[in-house]
Formats: sequence, structure tokens, C-alpha cells
Amino acid sequence: MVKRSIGIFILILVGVAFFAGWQMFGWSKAQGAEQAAAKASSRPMVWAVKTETRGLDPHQFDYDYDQKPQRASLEPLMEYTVMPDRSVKIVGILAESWKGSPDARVWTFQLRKGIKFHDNTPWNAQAAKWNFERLFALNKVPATRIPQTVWPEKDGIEAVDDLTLRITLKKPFAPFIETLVKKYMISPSAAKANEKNNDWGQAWCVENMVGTGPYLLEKWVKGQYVSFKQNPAYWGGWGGKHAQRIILRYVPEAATHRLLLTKGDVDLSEKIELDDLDEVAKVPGVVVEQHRVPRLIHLYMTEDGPFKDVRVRKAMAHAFDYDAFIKGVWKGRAAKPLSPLPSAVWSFTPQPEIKKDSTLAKKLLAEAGYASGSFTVNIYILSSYGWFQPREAQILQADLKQLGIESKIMDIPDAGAFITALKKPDRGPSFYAWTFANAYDDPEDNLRRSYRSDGSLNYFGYKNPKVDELIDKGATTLDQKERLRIYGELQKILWEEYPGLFSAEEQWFITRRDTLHGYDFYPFVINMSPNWYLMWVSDKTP
Amino acid sequence: MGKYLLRRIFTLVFVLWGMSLVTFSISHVIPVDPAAASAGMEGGPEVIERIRKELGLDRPFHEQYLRYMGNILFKGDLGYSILNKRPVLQDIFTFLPASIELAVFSLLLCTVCGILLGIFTATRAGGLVDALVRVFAVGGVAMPVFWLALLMQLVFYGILGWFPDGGRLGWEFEAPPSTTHMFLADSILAGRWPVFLDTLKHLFLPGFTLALANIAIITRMTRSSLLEVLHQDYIKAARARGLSQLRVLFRHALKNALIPVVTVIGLQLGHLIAWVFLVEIIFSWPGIGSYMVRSIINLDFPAVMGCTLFTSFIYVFINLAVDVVYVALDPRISY
Repeated sequence: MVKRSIGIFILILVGVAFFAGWQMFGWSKAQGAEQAAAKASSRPMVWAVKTETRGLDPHQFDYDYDQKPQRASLEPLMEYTVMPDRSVKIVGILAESWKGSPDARVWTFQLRKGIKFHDNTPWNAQAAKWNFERLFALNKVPATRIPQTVWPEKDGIEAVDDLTLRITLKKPFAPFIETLVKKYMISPSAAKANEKNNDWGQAWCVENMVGTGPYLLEKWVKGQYVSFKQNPAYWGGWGGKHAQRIILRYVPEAATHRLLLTKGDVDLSEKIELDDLDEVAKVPGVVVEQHRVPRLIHLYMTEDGPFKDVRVRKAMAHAFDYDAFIKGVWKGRAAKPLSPLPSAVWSFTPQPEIKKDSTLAKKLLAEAGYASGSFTVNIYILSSYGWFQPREAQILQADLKQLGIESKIMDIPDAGAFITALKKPDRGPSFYAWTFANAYDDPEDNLRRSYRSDGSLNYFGYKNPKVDELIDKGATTLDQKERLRIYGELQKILWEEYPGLFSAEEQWFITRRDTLHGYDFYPFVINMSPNWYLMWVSDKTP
Repeated sequence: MGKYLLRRIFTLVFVLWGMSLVTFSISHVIPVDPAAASAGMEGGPEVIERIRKELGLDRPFHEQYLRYMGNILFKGDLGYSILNKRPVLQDIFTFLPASIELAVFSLLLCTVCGILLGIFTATRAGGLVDALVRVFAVGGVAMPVFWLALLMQLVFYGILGWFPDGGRLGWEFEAPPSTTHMFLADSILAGRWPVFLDTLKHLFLPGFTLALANIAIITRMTRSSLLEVLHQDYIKAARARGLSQLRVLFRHALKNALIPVVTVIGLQLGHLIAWVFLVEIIFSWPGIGSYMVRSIINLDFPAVMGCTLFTSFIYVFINLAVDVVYVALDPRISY
């Protein structure tokens, strides 16, 4: 009797699983009639985001998941915009024009007139001045995107007249404009009215936004969603097609993202797993786009022991199986790096390809006095920051073994402990996994922080006075042709010095419905928030 | 009873103090750096150092602990979240009601369903239905909660479309005026029936998922406890006096059979609290469980400490409540 009952239960379970599997993987919606020409719908545009914003204050929080909701209500002086010919230009938003002095120290901005904040106070040079003063006074991560050594003195930020702002930096800094594309402006009056203990309104601004942007914050239901509605008084006007409401739903689980996207309950999902892309792409109405992004995956080599010798570092670079990593781990959805800079960044100059060549690697090791390998290295990874890092490390470990080099993989739990481990004096020759994401479309940030001898991210101890000199020159020269030449030379030097092995160039996937229109992924600045004003949705297809 | 309660409250204070010391110590012993986590990988050493000073993490351990406990005891201040800069207590009060609502709903569901199923099977012991329910009980306990949650979401949202994928309330609705901070109760009090129905729709899948394993356990416990009681002489005597089956069952048998069931329900509440975070993540339920997971992943120690202390307090308090319920059920029990 019991056995029969168990048998019935198992049959029921198998039946449900089969039915579910058939429905899930053999999913098909009606594919009959062609979609009518898209018309803007009044329904809200809904995005399923994977990480909830930490706060709405742009001078405290500026990661991509923070800036997504911020950009709906706030605007910067200028912004990257994808032009019709697919080039990317910096276009003025709250500033109409700007000019830098020949020595790249003094920057003058002509602000756009006739704009008001949502609280009806005017956007002008005084408001802009206050915003920059606040940014530097708070001294949080958003401010540090601009090197602290060039920050203006307090009297270096001037409201010359009602619509002219002048910023005099302490030192020349050519890419200053690029650093401003993510600096959003908030209403000084609103922040001042809600100040507590001279905090510049920080506590209030975490959960409130008063800007000049096209959308008004409707509500932020913590742990659930942030919603926006149109600002009827937006200075850009509402002619053309625009979303009437925007909802950013926080959905932590990847399986839920897939369901929401395939059922059409969201217009875009941020968390479709790499393994699911092919299946999801088959679902009618789903669009999968692949884009280059300025993110380079590397394994830096600390300059310790055998790694002090460039021949050994070169041997390591030729030992790694790039194909296994790109085709096996990334399933072909990543590119082979050809420079220490990602190919999506301005001034990228391709270098000779580095291929896996065990024979060459052995030859180089022998020349350096390590014919049979016979040394041990550590491979530090931070898998919480990169799902691919454990497999990258395993591939490297197997490749090193072929050369007689033993290695130990150490998966460190968090960024702090990772950096602590790298800074230990007795770390020994080590690889450490790193992904650099350019904060703006200029190589200066990456090169200065990673390769300058005092760079804040130069944990591997790379030192080259010529490289330091070129980095400084590139940061202070306004002539773009000269900068291109400088960065070309830098890439060549760094490529030939093998500070690390550059294992893959990430590509990003946008998974959305075809009901979402006007979304132009910005391929050059990965932390950029989309321009919500340009986007709209059409009605869902049945 | 009064002395017992006082003794228990006194013990509760020690337990909470011990929890705070252990959690605070662990957060300082493990090789992680919340300042670096706050700055992120690209923060650089100067930024990390500055954040460390701002958070007071450069002070000696005992100074940090005393300051932390002093703030709690004299100001009711659990500190500020490193991640989002909000007061931790404010976050707890934002997210806790959702978890309580989910836990209470699940507990009610599993208690009512479990006891009813237990009674049903006890009165049909040995039959096909009894066997099926027992198999269901084993299956319910064996299935991992997260797997069950994914399956429920796939079937009831993905395929059938009967329930939403997750969340607490559709964005078309405004939350009801806060009295209990639980949407079901508040919407009834406010007479907002569309909100009540939408809340129920959102609550059902995560609530049932969480309840299922407990339904199974409570069913089995009720069944076996009731079967034992139904074989007692006084039950035979009651039947012999001509009392109806229902009267015998509910007036005489069930009350005695429920004593061990109450214990199990109390323990299952601990199970609910332990697993609620998995269900919250899968169903995007904005509760304290998912808040804690985010805090742990981001090394937000003030939030982790605050939630740990709060959860400990609730758990200890519930245990106390269970003991009080015992006395109410069985006057023979005394402390």
C-alpha cells in the first residue's frame, strides 16, 4: 500500500517536471502576424535590475546601479551620446559649451539658460558652484574619480556671472571634461533646507532627489522598486516618444529575471546568465545584443622572485591557454585583448597578438635560468567580483604545471582582504586577478592608477620612469593628436613589459524585449546610466 | 509563573549580551575589511584609510565595542549602514514587518493545514489518503526550500500565470496606511480590499513555499500525537458515553494531542526564520532576510550586527512565549 502510494507520488512529480520542462524549454508564443509599426504606449517601462541602488545622492554613490535611478531625475553638465553614425560624442546637457585653457588648468562652462530644478529654483552658476563645492567637500568615491592632486582650491570654483562657471584646477588635467559626465547636479535649496548638523544634506539626499531631469521621483519602495513619472515642466519638452513612467524593479534572483523577460513582464533584464543566452534569444520578442565594453580581464604578475625577469613574465603570457578561457569559459562571448587598454577606449592601439606557445615559454624560462620551472607561485582571485576567475585560475594552473611550475590558487573572500594579501611583503611571485573598468572614455584613469609607479592600484609593484613620464604628459596635454601618440607609445611599452597576462576583453549582453525603444547602449563608458528621456515602450505583443 | 518569567527575562539579557559579544568579535576577527568593501576595488588605499577612520574602525576593539553597546543601550542607536548610509534601526523597521508578515502567514498556513491534515489522517489511519499524506510529509521535508521556491515560481507564475513572480505589492497600488505595518492586516483595517487581494496574491507563493515543509512536519506530529491520545481510556469512555466523534476529537482529544505539536510549531518558527531569506531572495520579497544577505555579502557590519541582535531577541522572546503557551495549555505544568 505504501509502496503504491510512493509510486503514485513519484509519477506525479515526474509528470509535473516533464510538463514544466516542456513548457519552459519548448516555450513558444504566437508567432503569426507581423508586429504593427511601433506606437508609444502609456504603460510603464519596466526594468528588472540585479542590484538595488544604495542611495540617490550622486555625490555619495556613483556605481552604475546607483546612477541608473539618479539619471532619471538628475542631469550632468555634459554626457556621452551615441550619434546617428554610431560614434560617441560628449554633448552638453546643463552646459551649452565649455573651454579649457591651453595648459588644461582653467575650465570655463557656459551654462544652459532657462532651466529650473524640480523645486522651481533656478539652475545657474551659483547652483553649479555649490554642487562642485559639495562634491569635493564630501570627498566620497565619486569625487575621487578626479585625481585629488588636481582638485581646485575652494576659491578655484567661481560663478563668474549667472551662467558662467569657472573651475581652476591645482594642476593641468586634460581629461577633466570626461570626468564630469557622471557628475549629476542637485538642487542646492532642497539640500540646504534639509541639512542636519552641517552635513550638506547628505542624510536627506540619500532618499530624495531634486534635480533638473525629465522624471520626478515617485516612490522608492525599499527592496522592491523605484518609480518615476514624467516631469511636466521638463526643459527639454515632451514632443516625440517618451516613456510616461519608469519602474526599476529590484530582482535578486537570475531565474526570476529569465521568467520575467521571456514572459514579457519586463522590458529589460540585467541578470540573464551566460549559459541561458542562447535559449532566451530564441524566445519571440526577446532581443539579445552583444557589445564591447572597456573592461579588461587580467592576471597581473607581482614583481617578486622570478617575476622580476621580463623573460619569465613573457613566458607566463605565452603559457596561458587563451582559447580555452575565451571559448570554453566565456563560450566565445569575449574577445582576445590586443593591448593593455580595452579596444573600446579611445586611443586603443592594437599590439602583436600573444598566443599560447609552450615551446617559446620553455625556451624563455630556460634563458632566464628556470629550465625546469621549479618555483611556486600564488594565484590570488576574488571570485565574488568575477564568476570566471576560478576557472581562469584553474586554466592557468594547468598551463603552469606543464612548465614545471607549481601554483596555489587562493580565493579571497572580499576586496579588503584581497588587497591586504597583495600588499604583504612576503607574498612571493604571484598572479592576481583583476578587471579594470574604465570610468570614462579616456585611457588616463586606467594607466595612471594601474601603471604609474605610485598608482593607487599598482599592487604588483611595476616601476618604469619612462611610463610615469608619458602618463603625466598624456594627462596634461590638450592636443589630442599628441595624446594619441603618447598613449600609443605607452601601450607598446606596457605590452612589451608583460606586467600581466591579459586574458580576455569582456563583452556585455543586453537582454531586452522588442517593446523597448530608444535604448542605445553606451559601449565606451560602462558605468553610464541610460538616458531615460530618449527611451519609450510600445504595447506588449500578445 | 511570575518568578519564572522574571528568571527567563534575566537570562534573556545574558543571552543577548553574549550574542552581541560573539558577533562583534567575529566581525573583527575574520580577515575582511569593511572599509575596503565600502570603497570598492577601485577606491585606492587613501580612500580606504579615510573610510576606516570615518567608521571608527581604526580604534581598539574594546573601544569600538563599548561605544557600540553604549549607543544601543542609551540611545537605541544601532549605527549606520556602511552600504547605504541609512540608520540600521530604520532599515530593520523598514524590512522586518515584511518578514514578520511572511512568517506569520506561513506559520498560520502550516499550523492550520498541518493540524487539519493531521486530524484527517489520524481519523483515517491506514487508508490510501493517510499513505499519500505521509508520503507528502516526507517529500515536503526532503525538498530543499530554494528548489521548491523556484519550482513554485516556475509553475504558478511562469507557466500558469496565477500568481505574480514576486514582490510584496503591485506598483499600481499604494501601500495601506500603516498601523501594524503588515499589508494584509492594514488593508483590512483600512477597508482597502483591492490592496488586500493583491497583497494576498503576492504573499501566497512565498508563504506556501515556506510553509510546505512545516505542514508536513506538523501533520505527522499531529497525526501521531492524536493517534496516541485517541487510544487512551478516557477517549473510549467519552465515546461510550455517546459523545459525537467531533466532540470527542475537538473537545477531549485535540487539546492533549496539541502539547507536543506546540513544541514543534515553536521549533518550526525557528526553521521559518532560518530559511526565510532564501524564499525572500527568490520571490524578491523585501524582508529582513534578503536585507541581511545583502549586508553580509557587502560586509556591512553595522547592519549585520544590528540584524543579528534583533533576530536573536525575537527568537529568544518566541521561546519564552512558547513556554507560556505550554502553561496555558496544560495547567499541570509549572516552573
